[in-house]
Amino acid sequence: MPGAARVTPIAQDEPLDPRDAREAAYWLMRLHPAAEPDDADHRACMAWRASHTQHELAWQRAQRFNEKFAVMPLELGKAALGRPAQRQRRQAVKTLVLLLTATPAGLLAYQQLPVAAWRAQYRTATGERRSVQLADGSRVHMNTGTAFDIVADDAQRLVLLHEGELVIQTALDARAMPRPFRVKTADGFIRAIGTRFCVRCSQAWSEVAVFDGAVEVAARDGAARIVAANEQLRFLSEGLGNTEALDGHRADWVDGILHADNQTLAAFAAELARHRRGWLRCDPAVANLRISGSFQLDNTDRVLRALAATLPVNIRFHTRYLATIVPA
Amino acid sequence: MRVSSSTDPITALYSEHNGWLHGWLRKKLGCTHNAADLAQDTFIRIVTAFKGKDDAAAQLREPRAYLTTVATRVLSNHYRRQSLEQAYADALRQMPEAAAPAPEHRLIILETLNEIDALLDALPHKARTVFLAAQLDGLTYNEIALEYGIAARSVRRYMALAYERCLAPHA
Repeated sequence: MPGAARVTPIAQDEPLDPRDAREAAYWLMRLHPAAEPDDADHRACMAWRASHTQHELAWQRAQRFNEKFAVMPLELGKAALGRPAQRQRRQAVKTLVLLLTATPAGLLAYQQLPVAAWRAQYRTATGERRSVQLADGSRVHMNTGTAFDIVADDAQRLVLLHEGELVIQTALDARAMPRPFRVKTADGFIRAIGTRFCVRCSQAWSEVAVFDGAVEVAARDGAARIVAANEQLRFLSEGLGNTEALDGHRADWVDGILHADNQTLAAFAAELARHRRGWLRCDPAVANLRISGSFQLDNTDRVLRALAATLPVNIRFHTRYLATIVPA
Repeated sequence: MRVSSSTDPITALYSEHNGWLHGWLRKKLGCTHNAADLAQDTFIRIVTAFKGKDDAAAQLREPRAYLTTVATRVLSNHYRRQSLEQAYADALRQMPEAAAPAPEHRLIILETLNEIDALLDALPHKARTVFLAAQLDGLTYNEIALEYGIAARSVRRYMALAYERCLAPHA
């Protein structure tokens, strides 16, 4: 371009020397917050950078790459970059085709694949709660980080709960032949018997709590039991736990409240973490402190500040997304 | 090239095989517009690859085999981008309006995601998983090791590998 000032690209487009790139990658790995680096790590990296101009250039480039992650909304990054691999997805579609020609239970197996949660008809983001009315008139309250699908046909009304927590108020089916209302989790089925109940599906287990009426729970291994009003039950695909008395505050989240009654701080933090983006940890030194009270879920930062005000703890923010409850 | 040795070899490649390549892509994609776009992308890649190497381009022995190889890469990149856009659109739809990025930022974020996604594309699945867990889930290396049942040393190795690929993608 005659006349125009030529701008030399500063290490932007020029490929890095492979050795410099490898070394810069090593230091990025070592100084990542996840590596929990100490002063010695930082000093060693400084020494490496100072030892050669090319090192410093490689390091600057590495920082620019890291900044791409810093500006990205985490939920979007996770959903887009963490989507199942294409190969797997093609496999899933193939499996689906096979299963559709087999049994309805086969369809459910497909729905349990991780992709199902992101593709679900109904989903709440972390920290979001909302309620939806189903076509049959049933009302469903969705807690934070919840995903479910509805399968309604002539034979049944089926909620496929992929993850998260629901409070369901079932409606009487207006059809001449009332269809059963069932919920499927990774661990088994819950059949509602005219009722209001809560279902939670976590990574490790499922749980049902009944406020009115009753439900029948069937674990995937076949074990089944009736859970009546004012009872709750945790279950795995391999079997049922003990029926327990209902925790009266089980559905407080529907009104945006997190209730603790002489709960350990560790357990409380784990509950609160469900409603927060990022990561909330509890230092083992304060894990067994006890906490009681009602907290507003709408502002979890405020809840953390309340903890620091009432217990001998401090909240340490490592990054916007990583907080730890530490001894004061 | 037989057509005329005075013509630029890439131009010759284009005029001789573009129709064929378009047909090949259309069969794969089932869509003529996309096929035209991707045929274009394929030739752009070839032009870039042979920049200043006319001799090498003129000596291509099996131009169609070469075109298919490049086009297959373009095609797989197209599918990758498509699935990324799909996942991105789904995630946006599921976000509460207040939490979602402003419309004018959405495309910029998508482009950044696409850039990272392309860089991570060739990584082994485990390395990708570990890298994203550290970058996006805020887990420590030790927590990642526990979560995925691998040694902490492997977590560090995967992290370094992922960073290396991102810093020197063609190395």
